[in-house]
Amino acid sequence: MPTSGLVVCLPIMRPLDKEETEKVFAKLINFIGDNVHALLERKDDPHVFRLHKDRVFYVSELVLAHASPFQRKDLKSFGTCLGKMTHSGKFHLHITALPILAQYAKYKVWVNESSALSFVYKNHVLKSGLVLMTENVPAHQGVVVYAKKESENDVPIGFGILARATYECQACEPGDIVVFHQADVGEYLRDEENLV
Amino acid sequence: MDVSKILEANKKKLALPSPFPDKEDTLSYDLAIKAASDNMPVSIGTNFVDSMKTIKVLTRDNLQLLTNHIFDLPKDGSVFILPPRSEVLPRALAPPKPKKPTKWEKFAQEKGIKKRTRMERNVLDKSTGQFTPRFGMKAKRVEDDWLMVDKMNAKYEEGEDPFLVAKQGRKERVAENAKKAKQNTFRAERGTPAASKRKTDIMHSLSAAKLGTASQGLFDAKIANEPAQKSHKRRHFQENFSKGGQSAERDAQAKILGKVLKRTAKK
Repeated sequence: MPTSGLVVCLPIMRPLDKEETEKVFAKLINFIGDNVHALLERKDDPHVFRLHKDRVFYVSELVLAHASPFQRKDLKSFGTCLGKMTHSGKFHLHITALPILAQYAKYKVWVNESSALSFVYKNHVLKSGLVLMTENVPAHQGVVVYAKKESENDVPIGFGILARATYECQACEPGDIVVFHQADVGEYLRDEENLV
Repeated sequence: MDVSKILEANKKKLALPSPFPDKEDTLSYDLAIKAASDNMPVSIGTNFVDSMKTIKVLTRDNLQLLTNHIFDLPKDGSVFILPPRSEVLPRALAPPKPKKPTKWEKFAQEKGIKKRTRMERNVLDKSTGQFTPRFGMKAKRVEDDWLMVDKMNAKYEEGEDPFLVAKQGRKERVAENAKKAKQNTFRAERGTPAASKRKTDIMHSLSAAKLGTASQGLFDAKIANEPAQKSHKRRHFQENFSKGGQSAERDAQAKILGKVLKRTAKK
């Protein structure tokens, strides 16, 4: 890295500043709570957060070392893209963050197959499609949505925000929204160009 | 039907109170608005019912007194003529503060110079035999009349147009007067919130104007007592790789994480 004198090459990725870090952590905490500590302390393969073209990446130091020589315009992606900083300075999680969210998720919602199909087409989860959910979840909590399959393991298909607390979900009508859609795996096909 | 018995039975009930109350007339009246005020203290005791009765009786008597006063007024046909108002309500706002004297007014007071009266303001115009204002609107200007060259105060050198010199002198004097008038308003404003607001407004527009140049005010000429401009430094980020590895970066982030977790737990 050039540390003094004229910087000729385009700036590459950089660490997050304090405010950006706070925003990213606040979003992650909503889904995985204090498990964010686990993201910071990975002794086997230390990871860091980097900002590149308004996208926030969670990347192994080894990969970072390999990605850093490239100019900004040449580098598309490295590590795991968590989301993007919007023009107005907010942080949005992308579906590419799902593996991390699913690994550490504190609050989960399982949906039946028909509801899962609807969810991956950008629709909210209704009470009628709900199979199972974590107990004692407050409203407006970030939850990971799983498709419940009998033959296979549960598959995470996206994440969203809980529209009402668990006890309210038990009492509500079948047509009521339970989870507000935020991101789903269908975006890998539908929204490929905007993901990273 | 003989109602006399019924009347006799209800005499006490039907008896009207006296039109001349048995009390001293100590009220003050403002008959223009048909108002009376009783400033005498009233002892009402502790019993609620009794006190209400006392007040009721007192009010009736006072009202009777007021009515008597109104009926004593002179009449025009069947209409009473009300007198002009005697009591004036206090004004809602404080009276305006006296204006600060201008510099000239101060000087004039010290020297005992008095303002010209309306008549003194006019001077006789011998050519027409009429009085015209000494200066201002409709005044006869010396420099408009070539016959008055010798009366002009303007100092001109040989070869110069005396009328032009006089005209320019007038212009300068008008400009100077306007400047002095402005200074007078500033002087009157001194120490008020309006003055401090104007100062901050000027400072704001100054710093905005400084940013308008290509160097963001770096090479601009400095004004006397100019406040220090905020330095507009480039944002400086941490390096991608620090010497001791990235653990320091993670430690700092862990601190931030603790803070954010605390904040979310509070909610």
